[in-house]
Amino acid sequence: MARLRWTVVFDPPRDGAANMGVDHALAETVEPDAGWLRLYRWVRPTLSLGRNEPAADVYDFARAEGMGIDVVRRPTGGRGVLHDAELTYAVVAPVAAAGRLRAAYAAVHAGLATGLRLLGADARLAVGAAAGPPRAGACFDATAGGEVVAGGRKLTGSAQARIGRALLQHGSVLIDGSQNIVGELSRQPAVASTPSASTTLREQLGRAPSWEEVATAVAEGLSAELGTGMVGGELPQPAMRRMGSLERHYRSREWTLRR
Amino acid sequence: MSDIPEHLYYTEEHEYVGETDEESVYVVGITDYAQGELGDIVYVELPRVGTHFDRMEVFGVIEAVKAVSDLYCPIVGEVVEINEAIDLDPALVNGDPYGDGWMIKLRAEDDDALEGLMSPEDYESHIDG
Repeated sequence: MARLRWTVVFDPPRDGAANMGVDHALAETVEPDAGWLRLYRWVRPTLSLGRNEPAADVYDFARAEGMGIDVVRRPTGGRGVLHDAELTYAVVAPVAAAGRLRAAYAAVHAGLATGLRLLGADARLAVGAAAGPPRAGACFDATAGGEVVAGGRKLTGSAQARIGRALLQHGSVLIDGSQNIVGELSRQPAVASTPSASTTLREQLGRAPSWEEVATAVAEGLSAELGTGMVGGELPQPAMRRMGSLERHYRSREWTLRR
Repeated sequence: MSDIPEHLYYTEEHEYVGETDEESVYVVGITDYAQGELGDIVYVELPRVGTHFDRMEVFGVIEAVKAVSDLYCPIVGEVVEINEAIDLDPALVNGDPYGDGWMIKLRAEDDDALEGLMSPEDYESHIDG
């Protein structure tokens, strides 16, 4: 991915449907020689569901609404994530340039770990893989090989999708708070969260760094790993034009409750 | 080293097409290389029997532990059979992509259904490139 022209976008907060719409639009419109790193956050706490995760009969959506938590279904696989006190990243690159999916996954995580070490966290890459069907549950309950851990617990959660000729990988870096709400919103006790499975930067550093501080460090780490000369920029016009209809798709109940 | 059987045809998106005993009916799945790239497959969404697809139209979705990918229909035709076994046991796609892990069978609309697909040699160059 080193031969791509990389741009990093520090995006203002958006709601769940808009955030998924932007990531999807970047993937649909990416140029053959371009790579994008988007760093973003959410206007309200949001539960994001995996693309194929059973949810319609599993999560208590009324309770989520009562707690002020939005719900959106991602284009990527995996399980439920509560986006609140975190930094979310998205890496978009043409498949032809990204190479093998696993190599791209490893490169992104190596960059994330580098960035988090700049903050002072003892961030390492997990070994081994935990397989499981896309059942409902908290993403941060299970660590897959290659993900970023600190003190043996998961500090980032990531998922990939191949969209047309582009690779989208997005994920969360936990700054503060707890993923336990994902389990609490579930009607199935079996998916209740394991508190010790995940950790946060606050736990690791003894303080909660600001979103801007984490974003700067992550951009630096990923720039070193994905390609030097990554420059700051805005979302590209083709993606901005495409995102409206994709945002409507991610806002539809038909999509959110598809399983 | 990925297994690339000599008797099959391939797409750039890593689907394979094979002839069956029945004339004009072809079997479709994903290649050994693709299943290896995805890793442990946990979910496969297949179309209903009777659905019609154009060439390279999305016919399903496959999800591995972390990655999701669309499945592209290599030939124009109608689905005549789906492999329901992989709904219950998606790991069949990892274990035997060209056998028990097949996905759909299609009745081709065109006489030259295999035209434009890659030979095993071309596919090998494609994944090595």
